[in-house]
Amino acid sequence: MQDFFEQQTDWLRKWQESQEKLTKQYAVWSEEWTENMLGNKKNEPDFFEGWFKSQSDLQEQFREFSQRLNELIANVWSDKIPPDVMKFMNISFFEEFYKNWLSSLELPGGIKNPLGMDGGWQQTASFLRSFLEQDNPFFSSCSNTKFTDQMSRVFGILQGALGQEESAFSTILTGCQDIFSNLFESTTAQGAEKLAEGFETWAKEMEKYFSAPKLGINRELVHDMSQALVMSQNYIQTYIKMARLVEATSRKSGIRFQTKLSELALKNKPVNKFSDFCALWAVEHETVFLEVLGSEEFAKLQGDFVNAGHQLKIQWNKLAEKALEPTPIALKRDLDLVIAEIHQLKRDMRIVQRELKEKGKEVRVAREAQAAAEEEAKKAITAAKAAEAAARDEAKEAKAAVKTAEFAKQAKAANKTAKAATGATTKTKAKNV
Amino acid sequence: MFTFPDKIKESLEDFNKFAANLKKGVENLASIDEIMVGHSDHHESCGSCRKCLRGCTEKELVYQDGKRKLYRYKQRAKKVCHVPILIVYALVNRYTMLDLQPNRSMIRNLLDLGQDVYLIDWGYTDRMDRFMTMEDYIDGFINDCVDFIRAQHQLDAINLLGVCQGGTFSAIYSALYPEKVKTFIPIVTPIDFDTKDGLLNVWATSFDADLMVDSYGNVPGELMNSAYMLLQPFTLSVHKYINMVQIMEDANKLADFLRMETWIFDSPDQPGETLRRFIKDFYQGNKLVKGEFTLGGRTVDLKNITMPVLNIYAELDTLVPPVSAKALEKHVGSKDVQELTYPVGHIGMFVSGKTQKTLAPKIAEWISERM
Repeated sequence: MQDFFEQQTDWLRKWQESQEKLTKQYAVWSEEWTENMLGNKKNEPDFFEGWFKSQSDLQEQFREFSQRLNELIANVWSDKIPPDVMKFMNISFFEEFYKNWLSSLELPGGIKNPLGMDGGWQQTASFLRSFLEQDNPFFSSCSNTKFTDQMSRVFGILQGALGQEESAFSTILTGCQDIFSNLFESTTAQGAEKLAEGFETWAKEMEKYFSAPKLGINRELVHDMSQALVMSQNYIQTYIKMARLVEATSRKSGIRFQTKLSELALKNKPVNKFSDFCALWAVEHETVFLEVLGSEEFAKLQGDFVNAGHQLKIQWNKLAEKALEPTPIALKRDLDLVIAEIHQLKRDMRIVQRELKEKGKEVRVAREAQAAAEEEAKKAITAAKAAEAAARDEAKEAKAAVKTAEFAKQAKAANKTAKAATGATTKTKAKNV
Repeated sequence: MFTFPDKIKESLEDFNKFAANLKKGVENLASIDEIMVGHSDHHESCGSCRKCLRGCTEKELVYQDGKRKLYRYKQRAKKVCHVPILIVYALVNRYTMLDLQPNRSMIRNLLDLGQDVYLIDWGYTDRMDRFMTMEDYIDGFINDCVDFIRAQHQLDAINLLGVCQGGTFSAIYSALYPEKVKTFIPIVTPIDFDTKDGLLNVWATSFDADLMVDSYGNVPGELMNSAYMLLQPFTLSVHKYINMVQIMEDANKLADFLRMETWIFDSPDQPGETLRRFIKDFYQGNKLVKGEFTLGGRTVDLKNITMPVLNIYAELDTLVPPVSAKALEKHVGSKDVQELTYPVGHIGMFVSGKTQKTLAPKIAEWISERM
């Protein structure tokens, strides 16, 4: 891998040197041209030829650069970033920009540039096509490759399952397959229209067959096939409408871009820088396209187109399932049923889990309440006991107090008696005295 | 048309610079291969090196139901708010946008301000999720997560922050369970779908969601991405990559660009049943603002959103037109509704330099004032 990077770095360095050499050469030609225009030098007959050659050399050089860089990017990036990103990291469109940028550096006096502006690229449709061909979901509604892939698979299944038994079906399937692959490869709305015409004629023939099928042929299948044919026609018609709209809009936006380019040049502000050129291209085209994309007409057309595609896809899937019915292969609808069932069970389980959780919470709350009540009861008993003890103590104390009072009473009485006795003695003593 | 030779010279010199950038960029790519291999699973605890691709801030799995996970981010500063924030991201694309890299992370910014952050990761939708409904997401997992956090923190209510479709889900949740939501912060959240300001809103009217879901089951993320790219077809398919060349010579900027690209194309499929209902009830029926939307048999009345609301939206949003997000104000029952807007796009809200410095502080301040 290290060698690979070294090689590539070496190649890139050489390319850059060569590119600079060529651009210098190109600039020299420009200076010579100025000299010629000022009459300082004699006009050489091969002057423009040389200029054109250096331009072509530059373009050729860039083409190679572009191709090798793409390879390099694929090598360097493919294991680092998702395939979807890789798809967009296709820099081959730089080549197209470069060519047209070079050719936009126009020669004086209306001399035609050999690289030309009329190669179709300025019509955005051809640019879009280059995207579509690269499996790019740009304008996805026109290049739904997943849709084509799936349809091819369905065709494959159907041909495998029915083709040999029912030669008529086989003819139909092959016919359909051809028309769809050609349709997606067709590069213009006009081309698609021609294909559609052929398809119409062919479909009419098939309809004749469907309306009077041979004996022994599965009539339900015939009916489904007939429906698929009608849906295919519908899809193709909407596809063509869409292609027409994209082409018309492309033409409009291409004209707008060229006009802007000319306007700026006339104002002596030519779009010289490559990045400015690309930016102008993107901005001008987008302005026109967004106007169309934002319209209700487009929404309706896109809706018709996408809906027709989905309808057709459902029908082909239905046919594929019918073809697979006798086989032990699990069908999509069976799997869907199982998945729906599992999903419902999971949902029910979640509800039960939630209920259990809630119940658990309730139980916990009840237990806590019970514990609190028990605690309260304990406290009450203790308090009662304490109160009883206190009462007992109080009673004891009262009893003691009573006793003490009685004793005091008795003491008092005794005291009185004593006093009385003492008084009598004193009186007696006094008497005696 | 007339172009002077010196202009041509200037042009070619400029182009040589462009080509030199390309060359340097390729060299950079060769030297930084480790960066893009990195994944949050391997580098979760790092948070500062260039190898961290996504989900750079350290977090802990605290609750799980199948592929749906609830993470709690590790504290990075002293906690200033005792009520945590739960972030509900959309089912479209991945939550990693909120934590793309250390210097572009709303989550990290909130943590640095002392907030306690939880986040729901919906995982990658697969066939088993084909029948997942909005009830499963909102009444199911969001509610479970909210209850889990409430129990953990012994709180009655938490702060709910919803992003885009996750914001719509959160609005529904807040209307159904207002007692569990202390504050509600929708970011770039579509509420009123009846507008012609957004291409998606215009296109959705002619679109048969039943046919789409019946044919695909789960709708491929790639298909969704194609539709989003169609919103700015030339900018997102061409111009962006031309601009990329200008920054390729700077390895750090290139790594930033590729991280962002990786996030854009990291698009889980959309669960069929949920998408079907989202298109029919919202994009086509606009039932949420009409008060006709029901979830699990209950009518969702946005007037039940009585908690404080901080409605944040992007003025240049092409996915969720500002008018669609702004509408929340007139439909909720809360008397404390504030708006916060930025002159950015849908994604710019989380990654642009304009919002990095102010979005998280404003959210944190607003929450603190209401605690």
